[in-house]
Amino acid sequence: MMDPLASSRHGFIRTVAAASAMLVAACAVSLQLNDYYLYVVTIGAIFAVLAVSFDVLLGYTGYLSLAHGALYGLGAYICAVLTARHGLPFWAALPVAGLATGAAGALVALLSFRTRGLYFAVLTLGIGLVGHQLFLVFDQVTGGVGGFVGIPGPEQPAWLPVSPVAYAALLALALLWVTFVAASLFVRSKLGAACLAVREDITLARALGIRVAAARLSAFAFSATFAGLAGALFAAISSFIAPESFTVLGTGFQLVALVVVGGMGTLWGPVVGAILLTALPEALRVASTYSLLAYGVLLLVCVIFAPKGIASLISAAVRRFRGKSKPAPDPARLRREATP
Amino acid sequence: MSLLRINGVEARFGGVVALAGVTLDIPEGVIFGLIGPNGAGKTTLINVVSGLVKPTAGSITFGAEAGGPWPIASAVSRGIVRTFQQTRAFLGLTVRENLRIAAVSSPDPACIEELVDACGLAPVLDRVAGDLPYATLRHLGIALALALKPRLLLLDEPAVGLAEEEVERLGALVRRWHAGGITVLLVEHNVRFLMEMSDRVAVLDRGAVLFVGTPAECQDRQEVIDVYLGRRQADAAD
Repeated sequence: MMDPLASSRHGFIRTVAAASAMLVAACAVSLQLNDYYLYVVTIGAIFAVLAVSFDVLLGYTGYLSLAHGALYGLGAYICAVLTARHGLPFWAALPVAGLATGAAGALVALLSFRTRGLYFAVLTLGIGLVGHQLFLVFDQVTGGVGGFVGIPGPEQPAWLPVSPVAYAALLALALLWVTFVAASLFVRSKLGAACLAVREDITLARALGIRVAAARLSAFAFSATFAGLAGALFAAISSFIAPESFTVLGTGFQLVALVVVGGMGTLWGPVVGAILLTALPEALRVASTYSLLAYGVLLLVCVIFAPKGIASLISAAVRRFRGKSKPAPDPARLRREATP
Repeated sequence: MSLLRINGVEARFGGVVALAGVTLDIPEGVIFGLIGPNGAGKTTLINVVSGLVKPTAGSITFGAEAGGPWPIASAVSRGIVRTFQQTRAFLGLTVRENLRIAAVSSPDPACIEELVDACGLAPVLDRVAGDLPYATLRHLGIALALALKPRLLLLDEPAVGLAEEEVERLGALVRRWHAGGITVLLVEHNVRFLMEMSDRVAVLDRGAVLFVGTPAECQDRQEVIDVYLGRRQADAAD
């Protein structure tokens, strides 16, 4: 009999291959775009990084955290301070921002020990609000409401002859690839299985020896690390950041929408959600009155007609296509197999 | 030699006394049946031993180790594993994903292949657990527990709701794993199944141990017939 636990490794190789093909295609297409659309690609990819990291927490572990926007901001400010004030190169500041934000995420997990459901959401709402206020209050460090200006961009290697805007888009797409592959590896690991158990039935998880606190802590730290990396890249690419980019009501709830519309617990669904929900407002920017209206209608339509997210619709369509394209079984072979 | 020694365990919930000083010795390598009327404290005792409920008094010795009961994760790491009265599996996940979770804490994940075969789960590996027939779901719940290679398996009413032939399959499964060296504490209302399976039986009534002995001795004791077996027979006749 086949090993009942074997499917994971093949699935991971297929996922990496598909993600790599998508990365190459996205880079090739992006290099044909003008600066404005390159900027849209960059922001879309950064939000996709955030959405994938958020999906590990919400989709795989079952925790609706509203502090993710503040963690994204923390990564951005750490990168800004290290590069603009302390002269650290972007490539050194990036991992520091990621790791420090990951540690902050672990702290959120410890603070919210034993809370679940709505209580957890409200607790993280508080953390998100406090985080946003700290960005405003510590204006000596963050620049306060006026924002942090003059953040150095990522150093561009001489061997890559593309414009700085195109380079930023390539970096954002590369970070998305790294995040996606790392998240795929995480959810297929023992920790990922433990997170699924925590999401589904915490009592049964405990009865099966799952260390619930360790699973939660790792999911929070993993998710926050990539939120911090996204924030650091956003800060370096934008050269200016302000607290308004990291609010609970803005980024915090937008992330929930991206993941729910895309499809929770799929990793690639939130990427689709991020592309759709960041591209749409930009596409409708010419008619800004209708932009928010269209955004709201899109959310309603998705939640009513695709409650499991766009990913479920795409998966169903692919299954149907595969079913139709499969060759009809050979009746002689079926008879042979049925004969004892 | 005793594998599990329960010493004067008490459990109170507000004014309700669920366990009133239970003392039991469960020898290593036996199937130990536990019966009693509803509310006798059988499930509470399993909850205490497995670390899900903290007793108000008393202690547990497991093997040579005193100082129990331990929190549930520590109990599992010592080899005390339980199933639940209400069928419990990860209902939103496939059978394969359920087994992958059990493999996280399993000291021998290779045994899962054998379990899949023994529990008849091979044809349903990619089905969502919530869509499985009841009997298959019961077997999945037991497979998850057995995947942890327990020293002591606590089975809380595993046969409830199963048809006769399914109960026989369940019995064969438990016996097969018991023969591999697992001690079993079996709580069950299906008296025939319990008596056939068990090497020794204890009867609980109102949180206290009424009787401990072999199944044959148990069925002959007047006080057991009075508080439990007689009532079961009367219920069956109704």
